[in-house]
Amino acid sequence: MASKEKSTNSEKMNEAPHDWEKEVQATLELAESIQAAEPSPFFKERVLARLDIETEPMLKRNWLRRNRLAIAAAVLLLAVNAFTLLQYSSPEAPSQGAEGVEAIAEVYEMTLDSKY
Amino acid sequence: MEDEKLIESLRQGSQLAFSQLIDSYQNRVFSTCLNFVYNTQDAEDLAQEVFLEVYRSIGKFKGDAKLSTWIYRISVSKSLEHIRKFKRKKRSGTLLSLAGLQEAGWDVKANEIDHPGVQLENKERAATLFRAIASLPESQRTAFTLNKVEGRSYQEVAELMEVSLSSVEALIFRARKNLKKRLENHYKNEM
Repeated sequence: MASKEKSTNSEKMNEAPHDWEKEVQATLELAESIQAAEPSPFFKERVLARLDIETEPMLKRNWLRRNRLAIAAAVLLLAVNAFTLLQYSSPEAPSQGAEGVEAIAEVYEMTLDSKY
Repeated sequence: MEDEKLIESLRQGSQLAFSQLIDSYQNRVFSTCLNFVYNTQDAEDLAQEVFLEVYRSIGKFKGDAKLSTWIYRISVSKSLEHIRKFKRKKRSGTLLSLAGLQEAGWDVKANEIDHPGVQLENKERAATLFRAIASLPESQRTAFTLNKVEGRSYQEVAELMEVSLSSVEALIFRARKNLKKRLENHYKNEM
């Protein structure tokens, strides 16, 4: 009986590997059979295009960003000038001005009537 | 163009030299990235980043290693950075995904493998292998990938990783042992 058990045990030891052992081995071996791959066509062209964007002169791309205050001031100045020009070039402007002066003169009793 | 002349031209910003550099190294750089991230799109994006980094940093290249070694170091470094980013997303994603707010991140499934170097009939097995490799500590993963998947010699791996030859041997030994353990658990549970 004991010898029968012993021979069964030794049979088991010499048995073929379990299925899972074969799977483990096959999976590990797969690592060494993976082929090298190549990038898609025009890979180089895409890299060069990205490089062009990256190395575009800072002055060209950031000029607006660096001078934004100066540009804003210039725009404001132009707007004020334009407004002023429009105001003084309109036909109503002189009479409005003259009425204003007369009103001030009346207040201080400096009209021609009051003076003379 | 010889390495020295190429480096000098690159330092002067020569586009021609850069174009030649890409011609010489694009396949290997792409392949290295692919063997870490397992899909073509990410590998191409990373490979582009590698070349741009080479262009930006060529002034810092001291010449204490070969140009090729330096370029492949950048490839490995960029790939590992990408993987770390995804793992961070996955960790935060888990909480968000539990709340139903975001799909879980990095998880190597067969349908996510887009590795032209893997034959169709091996996709499932490759997914299992890549998942197991991805679970290794970074240094073991790097050494194993460079040696077993890329087919680089121990010496090349040591130069790339800037470690000693004996360290590489130890890393690969531990990587194989850990992989075997993980794969055994996987297949025993399956069967």
